[in-house]
Amino acid sequence: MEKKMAFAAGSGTAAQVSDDCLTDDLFERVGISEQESEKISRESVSYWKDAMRRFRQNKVAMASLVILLVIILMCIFEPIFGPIKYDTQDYDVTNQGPTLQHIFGCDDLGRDIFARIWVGGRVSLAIGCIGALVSLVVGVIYGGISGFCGGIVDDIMMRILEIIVSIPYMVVVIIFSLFLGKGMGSLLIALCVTSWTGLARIVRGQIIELKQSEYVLAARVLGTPSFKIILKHLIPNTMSIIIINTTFAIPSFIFSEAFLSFLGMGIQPPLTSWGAMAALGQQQMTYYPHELIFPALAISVTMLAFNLLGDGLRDAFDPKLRK
Amino acid sequence: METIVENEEKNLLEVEHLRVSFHTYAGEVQAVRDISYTVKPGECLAIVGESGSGKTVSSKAVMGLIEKPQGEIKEGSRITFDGQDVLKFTEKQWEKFRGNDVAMIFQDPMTSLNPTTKVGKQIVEAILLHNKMSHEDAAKRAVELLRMVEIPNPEERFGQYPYEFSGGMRQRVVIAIALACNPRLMIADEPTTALDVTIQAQILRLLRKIQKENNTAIIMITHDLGVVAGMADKIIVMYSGKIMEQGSVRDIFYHPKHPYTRALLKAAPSLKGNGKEELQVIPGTPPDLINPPAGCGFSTRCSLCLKVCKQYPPQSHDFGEGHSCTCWLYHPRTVQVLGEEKINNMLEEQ
Amino acid sequence: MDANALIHVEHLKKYFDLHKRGTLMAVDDVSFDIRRGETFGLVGESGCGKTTCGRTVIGLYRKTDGKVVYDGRDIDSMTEEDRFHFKKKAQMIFQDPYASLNPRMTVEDIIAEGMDNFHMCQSTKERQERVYDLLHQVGLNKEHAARFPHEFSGGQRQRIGIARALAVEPEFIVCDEPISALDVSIQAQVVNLLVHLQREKGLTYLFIAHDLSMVKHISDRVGVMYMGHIVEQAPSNELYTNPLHPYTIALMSAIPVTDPDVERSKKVVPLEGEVSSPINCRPGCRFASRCKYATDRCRQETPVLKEIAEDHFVACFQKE
Repeated sequence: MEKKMAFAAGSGTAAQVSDDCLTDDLFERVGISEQESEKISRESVSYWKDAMRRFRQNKVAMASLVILLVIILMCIFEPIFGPIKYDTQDYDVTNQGPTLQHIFGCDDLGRDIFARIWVGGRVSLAIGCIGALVSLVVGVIYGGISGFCGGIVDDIMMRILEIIVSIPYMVVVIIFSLFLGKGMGSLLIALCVTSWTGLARIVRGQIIELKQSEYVLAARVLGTPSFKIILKHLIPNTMSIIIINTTFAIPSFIFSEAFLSFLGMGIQPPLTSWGAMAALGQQQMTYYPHELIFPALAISVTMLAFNLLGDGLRDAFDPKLRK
Repeated sequence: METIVENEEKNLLEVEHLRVSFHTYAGEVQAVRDISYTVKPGECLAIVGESGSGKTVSSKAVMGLIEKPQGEIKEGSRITFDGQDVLKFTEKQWEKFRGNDVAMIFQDPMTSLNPTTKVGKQIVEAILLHNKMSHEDAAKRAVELLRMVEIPNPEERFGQYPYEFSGGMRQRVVIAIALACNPRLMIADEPTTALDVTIQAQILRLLRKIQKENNTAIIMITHDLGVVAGMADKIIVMYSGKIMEQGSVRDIFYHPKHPYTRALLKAAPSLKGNGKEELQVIPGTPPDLINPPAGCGFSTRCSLCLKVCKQYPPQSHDFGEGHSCTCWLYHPRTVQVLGEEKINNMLEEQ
Repeated sequence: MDANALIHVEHLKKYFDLHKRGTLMAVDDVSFDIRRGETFGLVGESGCGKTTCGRTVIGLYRKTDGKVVYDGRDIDSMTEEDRFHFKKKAQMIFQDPYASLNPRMTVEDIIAEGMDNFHMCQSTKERQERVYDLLHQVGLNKEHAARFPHEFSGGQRQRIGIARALAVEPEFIVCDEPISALDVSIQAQVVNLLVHLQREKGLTYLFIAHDLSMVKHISDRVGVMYMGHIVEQAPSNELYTNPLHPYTIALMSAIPVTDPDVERSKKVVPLEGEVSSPINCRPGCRFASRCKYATDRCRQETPVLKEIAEDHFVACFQKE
């Protein structure tokens, strides 16, 4: 008996309504109002607004974004307004550790590492951003055409892509530096030639999948011309993947540049980059570790921030987590 | 006399005041809002409801499959299986419980099968996980199980991979794995929704056979009233995270009380009907459980809705013998104000 | 060919080349007529080719062989202008309400897509009014126009899909399992809406589904497909009261009935085995391997549809 009582009370929710509240007029029949039965109680949000809202709630990603902004602003303005020029040599302070005047210390020629970090950062970030941008444009167009046309066009384009993938970029860099001389230009071209393939493959896969989706079929039934299908259906729906992949591509460019400069294939003195600075610091590592630590730290922090930012964007855009 | 014996039989599963919420970016979704039910050994309970009614979530809670931190079983909920309070289980106890006492069958058989492992091995693993026996004996038992779920040539099928099976056959394999440890309760979440009608009939027949032969209790979660009619002993009708009506199959199909149940039964076209007469429609869309309505969850779509339905949640009304219905129309005050005759007329014309 | 036929399909074939694994004969020699203003139902289990058939008829897939005649004109020999006209007059409603609406477009843009393509509106204001009108016709309201698909429930999305098809004022709509992804209470809404629109606008439907009770409810005539063939075709009442093909009989008996007493006492004609995929089929009845009446003739010769009673066609040697 007891159980039954508990059950009856249970399914009626905790709030028991006393009979006093139940005035007669409450028992008037109202039936269905059409407005109400189809009402959507949530506020309207577009996909992008929703994604941005989720992104803003992600503290790690927001912190990464702030760090990156600080680094970028410093790279732009410190060399212009900073008190010490990056190529000023002061033989009194060679290999000096961090002091109040030179907060990151000085290198073997007495140049201020703090100033050099930001100049080097310009090169590293520029290569990262330009490289990612070029691979974005080429990759999206190539992958898009390949996926959308399909058939024989797709076959040929994919074989060409596989050939490019199979060439190690080291070889390409060496060839280009033979013709164009070592420096930022040849480095950038070599990296761009080899790096767009990954994105092209991803975009192709996406486009092929989307081409089969029912809304693209619906658009075709409605007589939508191909260019409109690409513009209105395919591109907007691959956008998030493109953005995420580009964010992840930037740090890999920065690292490639650092790696090549470290090997002496990249930026030549007196201009510098983080990789070139790390290469110099590595020679002095045993006695003056600060000359390696600061450029290495710059590379690590930037790459970490970009990767965390990419993670945050992926979480924000991933439709699987949408509810 | 008989009813007394039945009442004295111990409940296998008791769910009391279960409330489950999910925390999403848009807010807290109250997927299950205070439900209570019981299952006796060997009984088939069907939970019927539309998508989003909370039917799957309520059974996942029984299996301990509500993922934290998004999902949360609210304070005050109680789930007792054979006298044990399952919500207090440690992760180890859960694992033992899931294999030995309760098994679950999902809608898509491919999600519960490992595509890279042979079917036979998967069953053997399930057997060995919970029983102490030699590998050979386990293999023998696996073949036996495959035979039990009516897979032709079980010896040959034993060494095949899931992709070599068709949808219906895969679902049979999943059932075989579920049976590996003789569970006392099997939760089947839309087990036939992804299958064709002829295959559905085969699988339902199989489930009925298992229920009878092994005395396994089954909780069948479905949206299809036809599936329920042939299987269930007891039915729970859920809507917007709450139980609208519960009772025996005959109660629900022949004496439905709740306007939602009544409308649902009328919405399905019958094969006997003659041509394109209008189907009974339940207009509108289920409520958003981020902002659940203050009153009855069905009030926005109910043609018999009273003013009170929108303002206060209805209470459960007991019709005896386990048949109860959560609706304002059966509240003593409603009967007092409107009179029994008027209420009956309203229900009639619905 | 029926004189009143809006769509005439003759020996339609659609094969998919699977390279090394052979040829998938998804639709193999299918013929039917759909009369103006009627609903022709096409039922069958998954993989029987019903969806491919619908998509081929409307031109989404290039047919392998056969003829599709729309309003007396063969689609192959249509002029550019007629084809443009056909594209406008023949529309489609899709199965999955979640996949058939572009998540990045507002409801207004989704519905107006076809109208834009056929330049049906002179001004943005007219476009908006037409969208509001269409939303109203499918039981939604103008506040919904600025929202995005993910904010709607399955039934509401399906109605948006219907509004999109209606926007270009079609005569013929292929409904490709429009209700199978919806809840029971919502299915009735959509079916009623389709019936209502048909009456109001004189639409002709090809209704594809696996749910026989809904197909029976909405269709005037029904074709039963099995592995790329139509095995039986009859007016819906005739088909359900007097099914002749062994497959139809088994299919019919497997439908669960929403009545416990009937459901528990009814005799299910057991159908063993499952539909295999129709790759590299040899001649012979495709149902022969699961049919208890099958003879040697069934395994060697492909039965064709024969008229047994008025308007009732069966492809089975046992019924000749």
